[in-house]
Amino acid sequence: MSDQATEPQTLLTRLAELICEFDTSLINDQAISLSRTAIIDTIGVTLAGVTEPCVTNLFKVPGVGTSPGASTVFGTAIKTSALDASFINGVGSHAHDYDDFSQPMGGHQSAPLVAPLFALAEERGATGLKLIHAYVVGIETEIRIARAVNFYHYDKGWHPTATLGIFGAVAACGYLIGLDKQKMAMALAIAASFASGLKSNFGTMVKPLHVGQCARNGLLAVLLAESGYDANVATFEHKQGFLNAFNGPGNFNAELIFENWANPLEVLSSEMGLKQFPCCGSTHPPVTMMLNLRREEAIDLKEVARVEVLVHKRRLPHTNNPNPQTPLEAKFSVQYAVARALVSGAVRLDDFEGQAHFDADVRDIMAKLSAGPHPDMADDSPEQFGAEVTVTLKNGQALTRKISNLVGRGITYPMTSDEMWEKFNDCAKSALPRADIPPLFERLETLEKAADIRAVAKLLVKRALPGQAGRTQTQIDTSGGGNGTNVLHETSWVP
Amino acid sequence: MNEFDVIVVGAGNAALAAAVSAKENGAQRVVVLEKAPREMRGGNTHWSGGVLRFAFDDPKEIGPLLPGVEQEYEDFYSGIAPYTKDDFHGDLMRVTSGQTDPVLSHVLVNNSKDTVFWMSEVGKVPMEPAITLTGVRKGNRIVWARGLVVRAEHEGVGLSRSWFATCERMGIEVRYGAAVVGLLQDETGAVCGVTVRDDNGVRALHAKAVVLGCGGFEANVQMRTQHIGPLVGAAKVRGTPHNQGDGLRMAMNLGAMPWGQWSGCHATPISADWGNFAPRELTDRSNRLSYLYGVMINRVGKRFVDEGADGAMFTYAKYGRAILAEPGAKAYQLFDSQVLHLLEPRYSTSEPIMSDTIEGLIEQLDIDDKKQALKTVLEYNAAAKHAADGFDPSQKDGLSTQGLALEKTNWATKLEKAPYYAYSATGGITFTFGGLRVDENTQVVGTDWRPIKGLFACGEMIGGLFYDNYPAGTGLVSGATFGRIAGRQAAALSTGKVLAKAA
Repeated sequence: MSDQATEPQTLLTRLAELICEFDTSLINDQAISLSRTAIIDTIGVTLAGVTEPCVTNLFKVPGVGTSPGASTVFGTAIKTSALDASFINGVGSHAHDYDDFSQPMGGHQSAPLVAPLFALAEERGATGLKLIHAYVVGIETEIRIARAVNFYHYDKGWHPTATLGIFGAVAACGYLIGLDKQKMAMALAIAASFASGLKSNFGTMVKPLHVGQCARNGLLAVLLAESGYDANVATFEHKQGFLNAFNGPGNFNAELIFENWANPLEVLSSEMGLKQFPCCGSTHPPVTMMLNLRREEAIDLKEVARVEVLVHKRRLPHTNNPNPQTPLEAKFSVQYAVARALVSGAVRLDDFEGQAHFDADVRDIMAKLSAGPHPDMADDSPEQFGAEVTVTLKNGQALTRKISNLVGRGITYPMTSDEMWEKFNDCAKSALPRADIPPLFERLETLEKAADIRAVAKLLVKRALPGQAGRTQTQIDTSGGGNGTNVLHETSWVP
Repeated sequence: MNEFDVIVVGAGNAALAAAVSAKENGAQRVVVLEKAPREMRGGNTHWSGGVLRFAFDDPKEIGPLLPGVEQEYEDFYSGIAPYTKDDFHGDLMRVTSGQTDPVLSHVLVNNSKDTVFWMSEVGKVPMEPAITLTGVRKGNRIVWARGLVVRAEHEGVGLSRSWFATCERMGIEVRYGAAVVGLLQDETGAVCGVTVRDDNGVRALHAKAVVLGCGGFEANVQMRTQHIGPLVGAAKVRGTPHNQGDGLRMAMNLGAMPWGQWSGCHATPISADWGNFAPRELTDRSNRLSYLYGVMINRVGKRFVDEGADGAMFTYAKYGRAILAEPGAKAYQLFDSQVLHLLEPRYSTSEPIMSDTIEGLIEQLDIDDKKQALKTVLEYNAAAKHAADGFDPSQKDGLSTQGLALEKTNWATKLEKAPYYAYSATGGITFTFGGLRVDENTQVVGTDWRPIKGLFACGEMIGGLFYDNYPAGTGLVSGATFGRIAGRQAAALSTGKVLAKAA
C-alpha cells in the first residue's frame, strides 16, 4: 500500500477507467457483426471519397502525406505516417456524406474512428478482433459524451462528428495500443483542446476536413500522452474547460456520460444506422420501399401509369423538388431518387454525377410521379421517417409498399450482405481496380478473424507494376479503378 | 430417424450446386457440412478465375447469360466462333491424350450449356464476358477464345458468394467448421449418414443420401508425396488448405474404387514469396507466367528451360513442374525495363527485387552460386538479340539466342535496359486429377464394380476426366454438371422418386 494520497477522481479519470477496463465479454456476436458492418461501410465510402477534390487538394499542400510511415492511404499506393493517413482517410471517409450516422450524436459515429484505427493498426499490428473491440469502445465513448452535451451542443453550432468524435478516436486508438488509465485521461484532456468544427462550414469541403482533423488529432493526443505529455485531467469540468466553454454552464449533464455505460452497448443502439444510398437521408424510406417493390414484383416500366410517394411531412420541405437541375439538387429530390430506384433497381453514386438526373427513362417516370405528405403519419409521432409508395399500372393494378419508420439501416433493419456488397462495390470502384474489390470485401466480411490488420490493409493498396503509373506517386490518381489489366494478350492468362 | 434428407459434404462450386439441385428436386432438409470456418469457406472455387467453358452451335445462344452485352461490345457475336460439342470433346481428348473417360466426358460436354444456364437461372449466378482473360482486341472488335466467352461475375469469389446466397435463399443450412470424418453405413451396405467433428465434439448425422463434394488431395503433403511423387510433395498450394483428400479416403475405406490419374495434377509457376499456401486474398493472383519475356535461373545459377519455347498457355503446366525439379524447388525470373510493361497484372501482388545493374540484382537473390548466375546471364546476353531485331510479343517471333547449350527460341531479347527486376517462382499445385469411380448418375462405384447405394460424388472427387492436363474453364462446369446430377439423384433417393436415366 502506498501512503501517497490518491488523486481525486475527475470526469476524465472516471471515463479513462471505463475505457481501459472495458468489459469485452459484453461484445457479443451481434455487437461484432454490427461493428464490422459499420467498419466495412466506412472503408467503402472512404474509397469513394479519396478521389474527391476535398482529398486530392490536401496533396497540393506541401508536407501533407509525405511523412514516411507504414500506413496506407486507402485506394492508393501511398504509404505515410499514421497521423497523415488518419487525416487523409478521415477526410475521405466523409467526402460524400455517405457514412453512417447516429441520432443522439447528431453526427457520424464511425468516420472519426476507422481511419485512425487502421492507420495505427498498420503501424503497430493488431488483430481484427482487437480493432473491433477498440471500435466498440470508441463508439461508446463518443456517444456517451454526446448524450451528456446534446442537443444544446449541436444546436449551438458545433459539428459533433468532429467535436465529439475526437474523444471516440482517442478512446479507440488508446485502447488499441493499451494506454494505461493515467495516460488515457491525459489523452482525453489533450484532445479537449483539439476539439473543433463549426457547422457554419457545412456544405463546403471543410465539413469532411473536420473529420480528418478529428481523426488525426485524436491519434495525436494518444501518441502525445503515450510519450509522457501532460494535460489537465480536470479539463472537462473546469470552469474554462470543454463542457463550460463549448456548451456553457447548465447546458449539459455530465453524469449521462456514465449512466448505463455499456449497458446496453451503444453499438447495439437502434438510434444509428448506415446510409444505403448516396442521397439525402429523408429520401431513403421511400427509395427503400420502391426497391423492395421492384425486386418483388416484375414491373414493366412501359406499363406504369402513375407513381405516388407519400412520406412523413417533415421529410418533404428539403426534398420536394420535382425538377432537379444539378447533381446536388438531385440528391435532395425525392422525386428523382424514387424514380431512379424504380428505373435502375439501385441508387448509386454515378446517378448523382454529370447529367444522370436528366436521363430520359427516369424523367418519364418522374412525369408520372407525385409526392406529398402522408395523411396517416402524424406530426407528433415518434416515427418521423415513414413512407408509402404506390405504383399503379395501366391495367389498374396498384402495387404498394409501406414502412412506418426507417432511420438508416441499423440493428432493427440491417443491410443484407448483398446490399452491403452492392454499396461497397459501387464506392470502391472509384479507387480500386474492379477485380481487386471482391477479395477485399470478402476479407472484410470476417474481419474479426483477421490475424493481422496489416494483411487486410494490403488489399486497400492500389497495386501497380514497377514503372506503371501510380506506383510511387504522392498524388492521388483520380482516373478511377479501371479493370486492372494492362494488355490484352492471347497468351497472358491461364487458369 | 434421419436428421436430414440429403447431406452435402464440402462447400465449393460442385457441392453447392449439388445442394441447390437437391433442394430444387424436392429434398426438404438439405445440409451443407463445410469443414472450413466461415472465413475460409468455399473450397477452391474462391481461388478460381470463374471461367465457364461450354458448347454452343450459334454464338447468339450465349445472349441470355449476358444481358446488355450487345450494347457494351460492338458487333459482339462476330468475334465468337461456334464451339460445338464435338469441338469441346475434341479439346478434352486432345489435352488428355485421349484418356478422358468416354462416358463421363460426354455427360460433361452434352450438359455443359444447360448447366451454365441452370447456374444462371436457378443458381442466380450473375455472369459477364471474360474480357480480361480471353478477349483479344483485333481492330474494332474483340475476338474471344474458343468456348471461353463467359465467366461468373467477379470470378471465383463472386461465384462462391452467389452460391452461398442462393443456398440461404432456398433454406439450405450451411454449417461451418463441420469436418466430416467418416461415412455411416447401414446393414444393407447403403451409406446412411456421416460422422462429423465440430467445436462441440463428434457426432453422427443421418440422411438417406450423402453427396461428397469436398475436393481432391492437393493440400495433403502425405498424399501428394505418395501418389504424385516427392517433387510435387514439396509444392506450394495455390488453393484452399482444406482439400486434404478426406472424402476420397472415407469413401475408399468403404470400398469405393479409385479412378483416373492419381499421379496427375495441375501445377503452375507461382510466386515463392509466400508460405506453403498462397494467401487467400490473392485468389488466383499468385501466378508468375510472364517468364517468356525474361530469363529463369535456378539456385545454382543456371537456366533450365527454354523460356520462350511457346506462349505461356502451352508451357506453364510443364514449367510449374520443371521448377519443382530444381534445387530448393525455386527459381528467379529476371526482366529488364524494356519488357516490364508486358508482365501480367498479377505480378503486382509481390514486390520484385530491383537493381540498376545485373550484378547488383544477382547479389540480392537467394542463389548459392552467384558467380555462375552472372556468367549465365552474361552468356545469355551475348547470345540474345536487341528488341529492334524483330521482337514481337503478340506472337512467336522466332527471335532466338544463338550458340547456347539451352537456347531461348522466341522473345530472346538481351537484358540491357536498367533497372533490372527479379521475381521469385516455384511450382504451385492447383488440383489433383485422381478421384473416385462414379457412374453417369455420379453414384460412387465400389472396387467390386457395384454402385454404393446412397453415396454420390462430384467436383474434383470424380476420377477419370482429366489426365496430364485439362482445358481451361472445364473444372467449374464439370463441378456444376456433376454436382447438379448428384443433387438430383440424392433428392430422388430421399423422396423415393424414380428418375429416368440421366442423359
